[in-house]
Amino acid sequence: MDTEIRIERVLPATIGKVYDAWTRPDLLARWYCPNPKLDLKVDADVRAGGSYVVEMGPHVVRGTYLEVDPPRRLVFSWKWDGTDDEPTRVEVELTEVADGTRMLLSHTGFATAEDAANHRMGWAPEIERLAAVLGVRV
Amino acid sequence: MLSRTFGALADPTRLAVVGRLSRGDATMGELAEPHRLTAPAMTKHVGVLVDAGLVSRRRVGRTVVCSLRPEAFAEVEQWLGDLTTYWNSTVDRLEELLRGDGDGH
Repeated sequence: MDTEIRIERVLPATIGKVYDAWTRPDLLARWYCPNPKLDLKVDADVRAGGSYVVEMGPHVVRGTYLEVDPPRRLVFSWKWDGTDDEPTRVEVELTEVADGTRMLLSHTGFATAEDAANHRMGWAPEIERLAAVLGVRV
Repeated sequence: MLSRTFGALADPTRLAVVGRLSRGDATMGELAEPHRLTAPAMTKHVGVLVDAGLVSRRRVGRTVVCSLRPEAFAEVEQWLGDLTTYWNSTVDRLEELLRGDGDGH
């Protein structure tokens, strides 16, 4: 298991539109949370050194933009409120391709593979994982 | 709150009930069905979940319907899931937004 998460997708839109979706708070507020039932609020100052706050229901994540290179690259730190975790790092790289835009998202900086896997703010209730933590079978 | 949640979920039946309710409301009968338990035993389990603030019950006619409370849903999420799923689900929503966007912003 890696201490890094990588997601690669080809998205059905131009690179400019994908970059906008990642950097305009009004657009971020429409998708930037895995659970559509949670009330999502986004505040972001998208420039190197600028900070952001994302509220997903009761869960709040904050960070700072480390690299802002429209429309190709966005790098920011990531830390959930209420944890003592070290901030981790998210990199988004966009490339134009024939059917749209390839997006490579890397989330790195976890201390251990288990931290990377057991990221607390997951979605999609995975009862099996909790069961493993609690040592019960479901 | 977290320790109450932990205690309430440290039981395979209750864990399964929460899992079932995370996919939608269910009657007490529907919850009991997969488990070989008497009705009072299941009622007791659900009671623990209600006391822990994870589940609510309401009467609909002559049945009792159970739901996962939204606050609990969020709290349960704190324990569960993994980062790959987190980002895949989030990026799914980005894809939907990009696919469905016809207003040429």
